[in-house]
Amino acid sequence: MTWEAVIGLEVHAHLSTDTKIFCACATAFGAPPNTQVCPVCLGYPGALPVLNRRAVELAIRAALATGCTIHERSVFARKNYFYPDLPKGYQISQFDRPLATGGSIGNVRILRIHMEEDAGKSIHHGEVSHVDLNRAGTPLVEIVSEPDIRSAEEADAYVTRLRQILMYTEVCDGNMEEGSLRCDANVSVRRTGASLGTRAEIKNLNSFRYLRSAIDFEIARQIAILESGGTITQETRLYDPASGETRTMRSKEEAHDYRYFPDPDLLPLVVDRAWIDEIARSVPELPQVRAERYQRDFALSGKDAEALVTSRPLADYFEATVESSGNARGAANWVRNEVLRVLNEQKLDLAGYRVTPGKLGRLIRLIDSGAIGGKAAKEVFDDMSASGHDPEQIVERKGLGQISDPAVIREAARRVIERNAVQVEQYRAGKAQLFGFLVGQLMKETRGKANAEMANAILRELLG
Amino acid sequence: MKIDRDEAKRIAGLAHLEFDDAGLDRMAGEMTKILSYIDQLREVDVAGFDSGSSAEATPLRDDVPRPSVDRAAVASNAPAFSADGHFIVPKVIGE
Repeated sequence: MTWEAVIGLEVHAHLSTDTKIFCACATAFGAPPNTQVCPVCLGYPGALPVLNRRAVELAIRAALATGCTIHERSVFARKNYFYPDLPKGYQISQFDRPLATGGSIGNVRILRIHMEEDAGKSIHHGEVSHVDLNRAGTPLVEIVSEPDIRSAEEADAYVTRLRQILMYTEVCDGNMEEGSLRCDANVSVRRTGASLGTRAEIKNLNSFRYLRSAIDFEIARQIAILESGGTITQETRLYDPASGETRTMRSKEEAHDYRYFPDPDLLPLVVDRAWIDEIARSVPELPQVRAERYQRDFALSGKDAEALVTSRPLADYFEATVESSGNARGAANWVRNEVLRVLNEQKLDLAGYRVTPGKLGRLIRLIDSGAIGGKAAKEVFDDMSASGHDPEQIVERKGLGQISDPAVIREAARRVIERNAVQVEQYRAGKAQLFGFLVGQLMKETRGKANAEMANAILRELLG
Repeated sequence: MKIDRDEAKRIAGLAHLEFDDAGLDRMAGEMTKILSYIDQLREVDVAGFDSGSSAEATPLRDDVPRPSVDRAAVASNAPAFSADGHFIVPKVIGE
């Protein structure tokens, strides 16, 4: 009997609003500490929360994009616990009446999506801790999956797809380094087919690498305990990136009794059908759908299509290039191989990239019409990336134009045959490897500009 | 519903409050009284009454930033505040 891991993920995503969920303080990342705070998010007595419409809109968009059912009536509840970065002594969240339930991403079912506020940040300095409350009150959606994931790789694939969807829909900027997207993993193991084992919750996995490494470590840890006859303790664990291990979270707050109750400061959140429908119209074509369309309409491989939809700007760039080049496969190859290489090497993003889809499309047309060869095209492309010039201009400036007129190539081929009578004789007598030499002479004769395919064909024809 | 001393102690612990035994008994008695009153309210036949709450929805505001509070004012309300703008609290164990 082998072991099987059972994993459920809770993803916390910052909603891309300008202000906090219950007050009008700004949410910009990186402001000096405690400069984006007010009586509401500082938890001063008597200050009352007022819900941000845009936050609700984005949460609904996330729910629609993951196929969830949106409840026209949901309720904010207080989750009570003590921690210095939570000034009110409770977090406003949703408990038994969440905004949305029952969606899916691929084979992973989504249990629920609810709205809540983020806490502040604590930094530990020896005997004291420093608290910055700029982040307190930042709007979040928590997206909870069913325990349908079986490995670190599947967890990675699920979060990758979820992050793509949230970025496509502009619900969340997806920035894991800045904490805009964080993940908790519930991990247990069982003998294949057996009932669920006891789970441990691993907190705050803020990169894909940590997510995979923490899950792998945790699975191995639990199997080792069970195989040596031990039992798993249900607990919260922290991942330590330095050691690659998870460890029991030491906390003063042992009691996980959050005493949830409906927040008396907030009436139920009511969203009517018309509003949901209006938001549904703002949901763009999602990456999965787009990738399928590329395979169907452009005859791209699944791998190519996936690579081209990784971000919305990239997919938009690719489609604009298809449009301007009239050659979907050519566009796919150039974007996947050359554009991504240059962006990667030069640490650029598409917004500031000099080779616009219009220019790349014209380059592809130059190749397709036979005006330039493949090698010259690469040179033109690199020049375009550096100079931002038009492809035609570069071909002209560098003299990279290709000779595709058969009459001109034939004329040059005749001269080559005349001048190399000895080699031609040997070739005709059976020394086939001399063909390469003769092609080389022909390319020399045309200063490298003859269309290589045509040069081969014409020479072969003349040599009989 | 009756709250006994143990339950009162557990709730006090969650709220980070400390009572001696006499205090716990007093709190248990008061909480029991409150809950008994709620039980009494539950007996009232409210069938046919509209609570009114079903018609109400939480108001929503536009996503437009407004100036935050001046940090000096924030600092003046804090028991301890660092030169670089943080609240200073006793060391937190764990994370």
